[in-house]
Amino acid sequence: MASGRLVIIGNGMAATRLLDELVVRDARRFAITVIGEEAAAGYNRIMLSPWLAGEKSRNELITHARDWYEQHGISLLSGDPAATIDTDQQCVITESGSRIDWDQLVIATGSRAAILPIPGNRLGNVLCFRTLDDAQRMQQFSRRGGNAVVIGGGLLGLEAAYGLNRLGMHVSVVHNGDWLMNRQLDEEAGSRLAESLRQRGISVHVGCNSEAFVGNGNVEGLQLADGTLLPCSLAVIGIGITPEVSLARAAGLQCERAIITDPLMRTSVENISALGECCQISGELFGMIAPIYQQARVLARRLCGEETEGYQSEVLPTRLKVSGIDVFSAGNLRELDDCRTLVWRDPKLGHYKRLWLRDGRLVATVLFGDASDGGHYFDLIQQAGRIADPAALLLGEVAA
Amino acid sequence: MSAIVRTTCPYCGVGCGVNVQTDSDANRIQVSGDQQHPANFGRLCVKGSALADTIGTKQRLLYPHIGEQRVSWDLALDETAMRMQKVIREHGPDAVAFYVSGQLLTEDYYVANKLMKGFIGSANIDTNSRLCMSTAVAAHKRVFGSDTVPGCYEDLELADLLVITGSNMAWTHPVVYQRIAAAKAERPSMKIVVIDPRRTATAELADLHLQITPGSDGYLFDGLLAWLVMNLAIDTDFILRHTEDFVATARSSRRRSGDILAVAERCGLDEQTLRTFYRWFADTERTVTVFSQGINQSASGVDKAAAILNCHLATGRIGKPGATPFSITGQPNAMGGREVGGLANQLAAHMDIDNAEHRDLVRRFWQAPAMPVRTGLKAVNLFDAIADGKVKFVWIMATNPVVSMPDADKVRAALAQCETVVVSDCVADTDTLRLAHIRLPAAGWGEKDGTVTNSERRISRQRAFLPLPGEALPDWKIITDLAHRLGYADAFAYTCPADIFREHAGLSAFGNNGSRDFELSGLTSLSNTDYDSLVPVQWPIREHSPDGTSRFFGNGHFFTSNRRARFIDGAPQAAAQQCDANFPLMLNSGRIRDQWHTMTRTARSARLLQHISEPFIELHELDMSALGLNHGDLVQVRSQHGSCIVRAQEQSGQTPGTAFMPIHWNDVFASRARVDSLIAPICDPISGQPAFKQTPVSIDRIALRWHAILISRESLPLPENRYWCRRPTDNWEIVSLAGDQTASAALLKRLWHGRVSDWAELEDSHGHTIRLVGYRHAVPVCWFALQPGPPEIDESWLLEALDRNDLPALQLARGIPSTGADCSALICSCHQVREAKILSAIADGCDSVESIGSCTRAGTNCGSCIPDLRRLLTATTVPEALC
Repeated sequence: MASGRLVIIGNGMAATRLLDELVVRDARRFAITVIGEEAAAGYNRIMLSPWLAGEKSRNELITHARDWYEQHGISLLSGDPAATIDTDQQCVITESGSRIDWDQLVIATGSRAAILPIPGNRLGNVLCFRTLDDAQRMQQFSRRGGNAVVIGGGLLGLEAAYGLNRLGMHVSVVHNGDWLMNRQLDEEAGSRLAESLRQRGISVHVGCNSEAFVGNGNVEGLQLADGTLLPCSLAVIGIGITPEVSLARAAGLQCERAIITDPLMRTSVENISALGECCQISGELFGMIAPIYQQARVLARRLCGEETEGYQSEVLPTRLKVSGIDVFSAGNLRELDDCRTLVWRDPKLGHYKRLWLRDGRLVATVLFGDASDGGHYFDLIQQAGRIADPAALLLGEVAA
Repeated sequence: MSAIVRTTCPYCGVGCGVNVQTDSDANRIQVSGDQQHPANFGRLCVKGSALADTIGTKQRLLYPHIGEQRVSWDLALDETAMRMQKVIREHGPDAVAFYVSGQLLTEDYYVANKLMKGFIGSANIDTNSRLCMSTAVAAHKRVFGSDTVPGCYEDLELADLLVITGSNMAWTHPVVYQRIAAAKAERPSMKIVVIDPRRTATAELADLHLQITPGSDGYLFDGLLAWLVMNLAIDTDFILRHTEDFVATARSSRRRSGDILAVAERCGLDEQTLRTFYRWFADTERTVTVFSQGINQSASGVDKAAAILNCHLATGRIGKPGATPFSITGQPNAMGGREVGGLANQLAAHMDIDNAEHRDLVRRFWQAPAMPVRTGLKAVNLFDAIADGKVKFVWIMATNPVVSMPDADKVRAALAQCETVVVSDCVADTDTLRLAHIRLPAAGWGEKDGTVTNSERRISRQRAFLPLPGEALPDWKIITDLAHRLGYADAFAYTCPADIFREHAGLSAFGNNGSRDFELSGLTSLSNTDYDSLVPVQWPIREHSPDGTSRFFGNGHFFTSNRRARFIDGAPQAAAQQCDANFPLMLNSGRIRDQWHTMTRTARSARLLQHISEPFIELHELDMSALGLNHGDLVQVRSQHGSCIVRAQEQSGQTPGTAFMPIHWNDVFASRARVDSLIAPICDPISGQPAFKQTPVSIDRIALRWHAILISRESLPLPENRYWCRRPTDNWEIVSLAGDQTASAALLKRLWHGRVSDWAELEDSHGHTIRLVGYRHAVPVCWFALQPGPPEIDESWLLEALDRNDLPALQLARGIPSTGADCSALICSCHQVREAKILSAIADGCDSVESIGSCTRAGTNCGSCIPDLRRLLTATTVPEALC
């Protein structure tokens, strides 16, 4: 059983969830120090999109205010990021040079927005959409109105696009896939999503590669591979995330795309654990919240000496949180050619639902317009039981 | 509401009085039983109660047509007259025929018969009553010397022993059955014996149900006569004074059927049961035997009916209160038809064609230019003659022989190649109308004025309360107009039904002097006003009995030449056809409770189709399992004459080896369910009535790929299928379908293109399941479900939801309501937890976001709803804090 000094690098959703899990167990077992890069206390990153769109207040974002840390005897060091990890000395050195010793270290550095490697990506007003800070800048900028380009027609990009659209900007989405959210949606749902966005005034360009940002100091447009120039005064890159592993790599922890971690969240170095978007378990990376919460629970149990079976990989659904456009996807959409598929289309309401079945078992679903059955379908995909009447399932459960 | 019109029900032979109230625009009517009518005293059955659903101009034949061309009445009748005259000129009067109906009113019937038998000069007018009553007519005439029903409904209530044979009157004559049930409830000592190979609803009232071998009833009654004789349970005095041929008949019966064990075996009964019945019959002075189609529709039906009459003659139980045989008729005016002579072997007013004196009398009364001397063609022979080309012109009135005749496919083929087929009917589409060259729109119930006679000889008025729709005319008027064109204006100078009725009454009295049972001498000078206000009255109505007569023969005076009733010595016979390896099941046929004949009227009422909505065959569970059938499976039923596709149903009332099918379904309402296409044209040699009740058949389950339900505002073309059955509701038509070819949503949408502008659809890559909700101008006009097994729908909910159009297509497509569904606000999108569930968790003691999360999963994924959870927590806990 571990005890003594516990240092957590990172104060994102993985770290705060870990703190919650520790607090309910035995908060006083450890002297906990949290080293956060961002200035704010713990906030819900998932709610950045609704906050950007003006649907939530800033207060509602904050999950762990400063006094929460004080109440639980946790020291929070924010605004002074960790600079190096010394595995021999079992300490962290911050950018300001402070040395913080640990008996147990948890790396929860998360990820950074992926960089689009094209000319002009360092021009002014070319932003990512990752942090509260990013969101605040987008919100401030949008007050001027004008044209915005969002690169990336995945979950992150579309949420940014919707937020900017709600804030009054003319938004174009540029996506290199053949349809929006092509990893999570089938072509029909992707096209319907594009159509819905267009109806909201968002231009959608699919199958387009971005060639360069143009501008003089600040961005003035995005040049596409087909020669089209999309004028803009703001460009947001929402093409994905890259695990933030520079500290770990520098400290000699074994890393591939992220920090290699076993199902008990142990890294290659004793007494150092990792979780969240910066870890990699059996080749798998993490971007959704549910597995990270699971990891937090596993790690807390281990640190507190409880039995744990370790992290279990799970298939995850995708739910697009753009109000008014309910989109849900679950299952691997890339290997469905041999499947029986059932589709429901309601042109009047603009609803579309599709199920894929293999050997009578539900393996994937895409819902558009009405995602209310998503959770149920997701459970059925997980359970992998035979579906007696797939049509009845598609039409929704009916009370007996 | 306007004043009440008192009329009679157009369905069965009970002839119930009906009070009708119409509203100002005559769109809606209210129907109730007439408390004063002696047939029903205010009662109505389900069909009668639903009469209001069946009126209206929808699906009515409203205009005359020649071919597909709508024409004027003048043109239609000129063409009819011209074609008829041409056939008579070239081939003689026997090359034309009328085939009429117990649905006609007496006045209609009278002019049709008069035109054919007195003016065209042929006796080729027969009626669908041939299929239901002619055996009773023949038996009555052979035994009594006249076609007389000796008793009345009251006798059924007065009896101490009521024997019901060959009748499921609980369904076919429900009001009489209700009267009997009430009598038995009041006087439980009254015994009821039901003789029927099926355990029917009627048998529920029985003290004794004799579930006999199909077709063995002749042995049962011959055995009864033998038993009565051997046990000296006979009225020797009555026999000696009022009958003849008793000794020979009794001797034959004893020789044939004196061994009760052998009779019991023949009838498939145990001896004790049979003995009980015989003893009850012998010991009960007040015994009534009611018989109907089970006796009549037999190849030896006249002998069977005579065997029943023999037993009543032998015990002197005839025409006495609570003691009589009683033939109950199927149709509202079967009796009226018999009175006017509407059968090919009758002349008029209960007079006979082969009686020269009668012919002379009628000729003089009608001043008829041409009288036949031979009887005409009876129904089966008539359609044979059409098939053979001997009859070249046929006018079918108010009936649907393509459905109701035996060997019905042959009847269809016969009409299809007949030179001229004229059909007058009140509905737009029947299997028979489809074969008509000339279609004439007739008035329907509520529009017609005249009289009908019920099973107890009671004449009642049917009165009009609706205007004639389109150009429809009463049948008497159509026939009269044709008679004028044929040059008989003077003999057909009728201006109203009362004119005809007076003449009909006059003929009944003409040269009668008590020699004929049918006599309306008390009504010959009825004024138009008296006719309009005529109260229900039982014939004979003579000068000295102006209020009618309840019973005949109580005095022992019959209408034979020597005034004695004749015992008929007929050897009982088994069913004309027996089962064999190829056709191993014996099929019975009959009515169901809520339908009438070929459904032309009752199918207009949605609620009448709710009881039983599709054609079926009932089987015993042993046969079901031997055939590998489940309840509701579609099966092909084959006989030597044809085949049907219907649903198999397990029915414990069947005995193993027997089956039952309803007579109602036809090509308008189902793909292939005309039971009469299975039935051999075997008739009783005397009455000419076909044997509908025993047909050997085989049954095979049909392999199907899909079952479907189509609901649409208007009739839609159907995809390729093995089976369909349609039924209209108030605003919709519902079609049940099944097929063995792959179906596709795309093909269906193409098929119905133009009727529908937008489709909500469920598409299945394997084609196993299709659901479609079709909209036109945002209103649902079509609903379709297809799947490997029969789709289950909550029909009333769905039709109402389609009418209201306030549910999303997805919910409509389910076909069943999501009762109990939680429609409160969605709080946790991740786990789809709604407000109501969270509030109930709070009520159950959850006092924090965490405990709600562990209880309902709400808020445990992305956490976006935690503010909402707090709001709910605060909102629900504040009042407690204030307490």
